[in-house]
Amino acid sequence: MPAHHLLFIHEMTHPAAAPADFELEALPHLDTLYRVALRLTGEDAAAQDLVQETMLRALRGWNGFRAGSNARAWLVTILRNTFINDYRRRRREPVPVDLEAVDPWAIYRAVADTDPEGEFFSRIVDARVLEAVDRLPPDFREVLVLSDMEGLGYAEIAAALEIPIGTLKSRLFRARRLLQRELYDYAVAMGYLKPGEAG
Amino acid sequence: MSEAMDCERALAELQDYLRQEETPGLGPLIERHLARCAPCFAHASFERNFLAMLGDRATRIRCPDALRQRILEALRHQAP
Repeated sequence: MPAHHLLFIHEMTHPAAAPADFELEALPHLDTLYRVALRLTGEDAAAQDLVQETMLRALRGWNGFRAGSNARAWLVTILRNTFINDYRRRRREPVPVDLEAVDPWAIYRAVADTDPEGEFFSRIVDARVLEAVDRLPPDFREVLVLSDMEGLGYAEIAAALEIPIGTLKSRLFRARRLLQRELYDYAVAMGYLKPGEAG
Repeated sequence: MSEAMDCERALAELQDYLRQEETPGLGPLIERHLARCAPCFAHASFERNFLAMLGDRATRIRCPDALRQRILEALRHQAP
């Protein structure tokens, strides 16, 4: 079947969403958008502006949204593109870290004898966890936030970021390792954990 | 699907498995490995708690009401 026929069928079965539905589809995702914006921009005022700009762009692009598809992933894509175009250069980013040489399981090994379930994670207050997330390099931070904090699926994230699943998995793997190390160091400094052999 | 999985492979897949995003087809192999390997099973609890903590921490932050209101007004101002 010619491609334009398939497109026609797609449009018949997935009609463009009605304008009136925009608020219905988009507003439930404001919490997610705001949280992602906070982690991307690193400050509340910029995050608020980014969310508002995202929603206005989404409304203008609403014709391109297909009813029944995933509004959250669509909005996150717009938010991220807006961030890269308008906000990213304003943020001072942490220095990239070389992870290649590090034992990926160093943190688990360091706590395996004293705290094998990772109880120390739950003792760290929200603000400290979020600060540690904010210190991750941006490529790692965005995948960790979207996957492990907001619960988007790998396929959704790979599509939004336009990266292969393999790249996403490798970034996530490193992001989690880095974050565990940050939280471990903090827990040791606070006396929640006895220092172990964490590489 | 009868070949066994070693610890290195199981650990490499572990976090994706806990997010139900493991390499297609490997789920049952990882499960079987965890069921008979005590060290990897323990390690899985640690990673599960780490991911649960992250998921839990995120949702406590909400979009401020003032921003929600500002956006609603901007949307209605812009809509035809």
